[in-house]
Amino acid sequence: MLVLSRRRDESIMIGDNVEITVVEVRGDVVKLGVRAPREVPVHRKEIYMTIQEENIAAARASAQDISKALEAVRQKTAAPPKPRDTKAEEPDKN
Amino acid sequence: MLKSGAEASFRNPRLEFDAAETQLLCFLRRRKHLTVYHTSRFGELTVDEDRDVIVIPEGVIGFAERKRYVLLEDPDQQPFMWLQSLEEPALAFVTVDPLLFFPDYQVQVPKDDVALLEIEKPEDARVLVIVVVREEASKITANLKGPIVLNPQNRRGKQVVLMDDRYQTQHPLLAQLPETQEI
Repeated sequence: MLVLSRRRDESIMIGDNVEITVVEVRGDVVKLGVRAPREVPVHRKEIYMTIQEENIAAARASAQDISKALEAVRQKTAAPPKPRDTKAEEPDKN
Repeated sequence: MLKSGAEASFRNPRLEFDAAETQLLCFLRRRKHLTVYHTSRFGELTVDEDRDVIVIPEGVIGFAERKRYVLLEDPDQQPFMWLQSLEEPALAFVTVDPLLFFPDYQVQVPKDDVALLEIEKPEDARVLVIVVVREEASKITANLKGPIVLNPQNRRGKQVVLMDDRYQTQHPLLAQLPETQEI
């Protein structure tokens, strides 16, 4: 692994388009700023890894799994829940 | 037609009919851009390239190279749907509309992702979550941390990672369902 020493406000470049800047250093917490093109996904590693593991587990689903799931839903309720009118909110903040 | 050579040789008596059938199907496919894809769970799927294909430009996390999918919505299997890869026959995810099971679920799509998906109004987006069916069926979980957000207009999608700490990758799907429900 390449190890580089950087001070606050200093950056490294990865390729031509990805820039990582040390924004703040406080105790054992380092705040990093990442500037990358939209098509380069950036995630905290542990969250990314958990989602990846979950996706891999999900991808092993067998064709019968939906029937199993339906059966479980029906056991819990008299009928599958009805669709609601509301949608997930996605306020365009930022 | 998608037939192996060995199989075709047993079908000689129907050769003429097959040729006509092939011509007709080719014509229909050209007109509607239909393509037949093989899948490991559902056999052959005929997909309308212009209307059915969902493109997830960054792939699903862990499957970055798999970018083209179809959503299989079988009325008998509602509310569950399969998100089937068109590039890997064995790759498919069970998905569900999260609001049916988690009425308070909120998805904040980052600005960059809104731009990537070209979503104009929040209500236009369609949100699915991936479900894992476990050995014990009552322990089905839904991944609320990484929902799949789709723009039905341009059929683009992305697995969005939510910053919201209320959401994790394994929420028991049936936990919030009322025990009995009036029909």
